[in-house]
Amino acid sequence: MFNKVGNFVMRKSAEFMLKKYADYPSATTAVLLVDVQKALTADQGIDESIRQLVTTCRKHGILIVYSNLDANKKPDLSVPAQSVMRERLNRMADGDANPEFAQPQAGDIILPARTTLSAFAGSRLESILRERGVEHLVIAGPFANIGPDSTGRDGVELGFHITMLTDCTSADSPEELKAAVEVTWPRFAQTVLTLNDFAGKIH
Amino acid sequence: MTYPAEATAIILVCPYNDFLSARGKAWPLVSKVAKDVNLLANLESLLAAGRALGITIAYAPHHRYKPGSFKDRKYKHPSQVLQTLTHSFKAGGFGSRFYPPLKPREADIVASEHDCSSGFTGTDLHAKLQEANVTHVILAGLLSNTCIEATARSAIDLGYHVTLLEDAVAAWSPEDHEAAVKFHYPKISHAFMKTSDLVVQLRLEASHVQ
Repeated sequence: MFNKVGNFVMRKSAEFMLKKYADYPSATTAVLLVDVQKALTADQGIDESIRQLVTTCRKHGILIVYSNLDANKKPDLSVPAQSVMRERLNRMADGDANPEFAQPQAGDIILPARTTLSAFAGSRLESILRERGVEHLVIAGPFANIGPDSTGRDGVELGFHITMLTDCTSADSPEELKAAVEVTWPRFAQTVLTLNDFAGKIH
Repeated sequence: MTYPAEATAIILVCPYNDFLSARGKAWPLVSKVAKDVNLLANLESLLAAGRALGITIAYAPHHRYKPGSFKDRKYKHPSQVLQTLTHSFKAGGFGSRFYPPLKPREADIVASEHDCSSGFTGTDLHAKLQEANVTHVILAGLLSNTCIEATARSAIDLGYHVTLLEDAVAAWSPEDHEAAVKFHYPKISHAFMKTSDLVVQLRLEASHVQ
């Protein structure tokens, strides 16, 4: 009982104090699509929400950045998350390509394919965002507790305002998705909200 | 052999009085999970085994709160917002001292303080581990789904072999702890086990070397 009440108060306090960050000027906001690749989004049920997210960005001129996983290169030591993702990518021909609903266009940024969990690790993502004056980074992509999690954590550490979209992600089970989105994400990300709520705060 | 003694380090993350002492500020909340998993005894037995076997012991300490901490940071980490409210791990105070049974000795590595969660980001931990030729890290301490998990994720991306322990970590709530140890740790570690099993394995491997 004490634990429940104490945690409730702590969560609500943090949420209240971080609420003010959720405001997205289109010039200083970027959307990062992490692992939005054919073989990884297949059967995850997020095609339509990612399509809508991309449309929203195009409408407001918000920068879109893609960070894909490398289907072939292996890190020296893979953790299960890395092996499983690599297997998935190789399950279908062209599985590592971006799907039809998230096709890069001129002006988008495509980072070199990575083997790390985080899109920031070993990449130029931080300096690319800083060069363009991006302060608000919105993260979407399948497998909430793999790529989006590591990337979100690094982004906050590096000083960005990180927003995680609850309905533009997935997990291996509903229970696991709930744990990631409702329990873990709010511990490291300043803002956790739906695509619609995000879209309503862009100006 | 999984754990070459000369290339392995046990990293104790944030083992402060505020988290672990009965008089600590955060203990009333953390104690629920800590007692459930028998955290204090497991941390002490892990550290004792590590010291006995000559394994490198490293410390990844959290930012010690000072007036004005984080004031230059435009977008604070959720933990920084809470630390600003509660003044946990206050510099110079009881809460930011290492919990006595787990305190560092002279030969140990004590990294610089991390501002958010990962023991690696913005600290000298990686450089110090590299200098000591460490390739394998065993993480223990607090909290399961914040500093421990963030440090593990960084360690993986830096190329370390990462071992996580289900009962040498604790979190603010059973839900937080479960999210980490049930769903995340098995996916983001090279080895994941109970503290007692790791201690047996470390001893066994050491005895084979002799």
